[in-house]
Amino acid sequence: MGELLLMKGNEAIGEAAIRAGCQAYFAYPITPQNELGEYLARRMPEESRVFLQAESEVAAINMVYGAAGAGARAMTSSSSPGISLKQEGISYIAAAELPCVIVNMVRGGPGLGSIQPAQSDYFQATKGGGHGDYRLIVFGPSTIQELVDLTGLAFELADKYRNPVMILGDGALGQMMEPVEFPAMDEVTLPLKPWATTGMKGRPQNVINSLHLDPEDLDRHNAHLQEKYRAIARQEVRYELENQDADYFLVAYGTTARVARNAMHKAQGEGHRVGLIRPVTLWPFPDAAFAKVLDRARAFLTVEMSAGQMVEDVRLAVNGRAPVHFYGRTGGVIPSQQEIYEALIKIIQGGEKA
Amino acid sequence: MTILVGAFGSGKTEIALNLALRMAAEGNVSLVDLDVVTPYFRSRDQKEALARHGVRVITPEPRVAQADLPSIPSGMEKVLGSEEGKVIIDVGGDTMGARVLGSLRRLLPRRHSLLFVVNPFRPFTATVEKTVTELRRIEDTVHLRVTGLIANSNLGPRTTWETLLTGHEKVLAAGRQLKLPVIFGTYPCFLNGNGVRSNLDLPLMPLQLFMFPP
Repeated sequence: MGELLLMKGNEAIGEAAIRAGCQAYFAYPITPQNELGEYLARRMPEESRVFLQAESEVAAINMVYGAAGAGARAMTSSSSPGISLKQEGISYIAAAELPCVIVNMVRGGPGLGSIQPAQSDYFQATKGGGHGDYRLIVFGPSTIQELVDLTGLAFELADKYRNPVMILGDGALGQMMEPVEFPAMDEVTLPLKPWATTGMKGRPQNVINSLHLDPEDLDRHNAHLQEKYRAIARQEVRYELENQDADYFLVAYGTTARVARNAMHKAQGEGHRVGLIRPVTLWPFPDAAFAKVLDRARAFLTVEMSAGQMVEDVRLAVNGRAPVHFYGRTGGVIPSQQEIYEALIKIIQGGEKA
Repeated sequence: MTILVGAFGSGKTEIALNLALRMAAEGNVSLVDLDVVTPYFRSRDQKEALARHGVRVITPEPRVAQADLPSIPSGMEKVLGSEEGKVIIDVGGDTMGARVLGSLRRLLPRRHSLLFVVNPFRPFTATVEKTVTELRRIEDTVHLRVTGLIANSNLGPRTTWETLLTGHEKVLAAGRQLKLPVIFGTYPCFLNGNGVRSNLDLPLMPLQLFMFPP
């Protein structure tokens, strides 16, 4: 680890990608993630790597397909509407089992929406935003340091499982500044990729494709993908569980988890036994965190910057064993500590039905 | 007239707000939000708080204030040409943000301070060499000469006197190389000013912070 720098979230992803050995980044501008493209436009040439501004989001994601197919560590980024445009390409990449990192710094939706922070792309990110049966590994970082750490891990897991990894941030996380440390430049050993299209040179042809016209063949390919997703679900779940012995649990990820933690502290200060479950991987979802507390938890309150998306996964994890409540704001409004605290107190006092 | 330029995230807006509040205690002051590149954490978000202290905040009209449009506040010519009162201009970061100032430069009064805000804990001003490069890029964009530096060394909530003074020393070194004065250094007001053990030849201004991450 090196010295501390004060970085915006968007810039921090850029530098972390460079440290992780990202060899190609394909940009198309959209607020509120433009600092990432700006940063890499300056830094990638300094490191003799590829920065390319594509003519559209669709072009950028297909450039990622090409670069990843040729064995490079590749990344693209956008914000909500731009990520919607990339979905066809993401489905192809998942089908062709290509490793890459896709960053979504979410803004208020639907439609053009706003440029303020939101978490309303959770369904799209975790349930397969494009067509077909596929999964992305999805990270929901909540500090700039975690953005840095998870960007490194994203490249690592993408290669390990030959699967696209999405970093699901939000505009606030992209714009805010915090002190961070980066891993050293030469810390990463890039894995061998014998499947990549690097020129035949004495080996049989490698083909990267997502077309399987024979139904039996495609059925087998899907079975193989599902087996891989089950392995990821077994091995890559990450979460933070605070105050495991609590009676009530707040559940939140990303920026919202920061505010939820403050609300938890306020409630604890008033003598309430409140904990926090913070999923770090949004897919695979950390059911295990809930299993640890279900025996004594009286209720859960999920807080999101959406109309209620992750709350569905919380209900699946809780499986009817305790009431699961929801509090959310949309459009770019960040729920305040006070709002969350009041929603929580209502539940504790028994005035709210799930 | 004081014009603040600098790299992205160097702290121009926080300094502009603090300067405006100090000057408001002495008389008529206008703060011009000329940041057309930053989508969040802008002067316009603090307009009401500043108005309560008598600062006139000139921002894009409300209809477009929340958009990522490069809109310039109306009435700019009048403010820039006015001889009355003090004016602080908060320019957007980097050459990208500075370009708009370049387009308005003919409207500026001949007597103005163009101050370059430096935080040596930010990536593109982390060394003296980088700071010089960054300053020249911005000067080339605005077609104006920087007249002084402001040392805004900080690591956000992890700022200590030790890190701060190490940073300020770097800015002083950059000033020497550029043959430019460092007008003042800042310290966040959560650091107790009584604890200063500064041997630096640099006036220090406490910075009241307005913008916090969630």
